[in-house]
Amino acid sequence: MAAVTFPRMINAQTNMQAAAPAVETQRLLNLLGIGLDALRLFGIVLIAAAALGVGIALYNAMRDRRYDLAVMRSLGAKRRTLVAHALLEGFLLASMGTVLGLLLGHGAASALGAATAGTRTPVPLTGLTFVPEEWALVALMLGLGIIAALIPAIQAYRTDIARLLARG
Amino acid sequence: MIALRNVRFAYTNEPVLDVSYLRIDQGAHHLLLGPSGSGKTTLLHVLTGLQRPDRGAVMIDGHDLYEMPEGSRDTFRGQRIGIVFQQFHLVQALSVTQNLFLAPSMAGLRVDKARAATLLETLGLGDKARAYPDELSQGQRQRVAIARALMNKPPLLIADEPTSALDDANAQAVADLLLYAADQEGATLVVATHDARIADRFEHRLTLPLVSAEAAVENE
Repeated sequence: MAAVTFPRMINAQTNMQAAAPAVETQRLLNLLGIGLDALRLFGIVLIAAAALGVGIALYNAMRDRRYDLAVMRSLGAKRRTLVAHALLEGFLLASMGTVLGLLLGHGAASALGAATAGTRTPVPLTGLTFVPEEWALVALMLGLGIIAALIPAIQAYRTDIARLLARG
Repeated sequence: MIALRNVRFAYTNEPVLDVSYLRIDQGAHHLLLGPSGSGKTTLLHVLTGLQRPDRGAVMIDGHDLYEMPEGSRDTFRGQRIGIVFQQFHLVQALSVTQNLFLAPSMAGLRVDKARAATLLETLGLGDKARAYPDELSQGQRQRVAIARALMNKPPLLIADEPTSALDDANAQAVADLLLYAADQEGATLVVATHDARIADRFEHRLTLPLVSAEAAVENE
C-alpha cells in the first residue's frame, strides 16, 4: 500500500518528485528501443542499397567487358567459365567489402571506446570482441555479392560472340 | 582439313551464306575475297564454331564441328583454331605476355612461357612483353593478336580482315607474318579480306558469295 501512496504523497505535498527506478528504466529502454529499431531498419535499407549498387557496378563492369568475354570464348573458354568468372567477381568484391566493413566497424568501436576512456562519461566499447552474429553478417554479405553478380553472369552466359566480334 | 557441305546461314530470309561444297587442304593458304556483306565474316564464324549454320556440316580434321556439344566445340576451337580479328580484340587490362597466356589457359592447355617469349621475339616484340595494348601501335597490336592466335600451335589459322586497319607497310608485314607463321607451323591459313594490297600473296582465292562447288573451283 505504501508503494502506491508514498510517491503520491511526495508529489502532492513536497517540492520533490517521486520516481520508481524500475518504471523509469523500463520507459528509458522503450525510448531507446524505438531508436534501436530505427537503426536496424536503417541498416537493412543500407544493405539493400549496397547490394543494388554492387549489382549495378558489376552489371556495368560486365557490359564494358563484353568484348573481352567474347574474346575469351573465341580463345576456347566455355560459357560456364564466363559465368564462373562473373560470379567470382561478385564474390571477391563482396569478400573485400565484408572484411573492410568488419575492420571499420570494429575499429570505430575501439576508437570510440578509447576516445571516451578518460572522460566523465566513458563509453565502455572495444572492437576486440567478436560476436557470433557477425558470422551471419559475413554469410549475408557473400550471398548478396553472388546475387548481385547473377544478372551479369546471365549476361555473360548469353553473350552472342559472333555478332559482337563481327561488329568490332 | 576443312570441308563444308550444304552449309546455309541466314540472318533473315535472304541467305548470307550458301555453300554446297567447299574443301580446304591441310597447309594450303586461302584468301577469301568479296565485298563487305558478302558473308566473309559469317563464313569465318561458321568455320570456327562461333556461329551455328542453319543447316549443313562443317568438318575440321574429321570432326563435325556442330555435332559436338557446345563446351567441347569451344575447347576444340581454343586448341586447334587460331583466330586473328580485324579489331585485334586484345584484353586491355592485361599485358602483352598475359594476353598471350590467355590463349592456352582459356583452351585448358598448359601455359608455355618459353613459347610466348619465342613468339614475341619472332614477331619483333621482344621488348614489349610487359607493355599494355594501349601503349602499342596498331601494327604492334596486330602482331600481338597474331602471336596470341599462334600460342596453341593451331593447325588452322583464321584471320578476318587482319590488315584493313593498318597502313601499307604494316599491312605487308602482317601478310608476311601470317604466311611465314603458317608455313613454320604447317598450319592451314584462311584470310578474309577486301584488301587488294595483300591479294597477290596467296596461292588460292575464294570469292564470295560462294554458291556452288563449281564456283569454288573456278575461283582457284
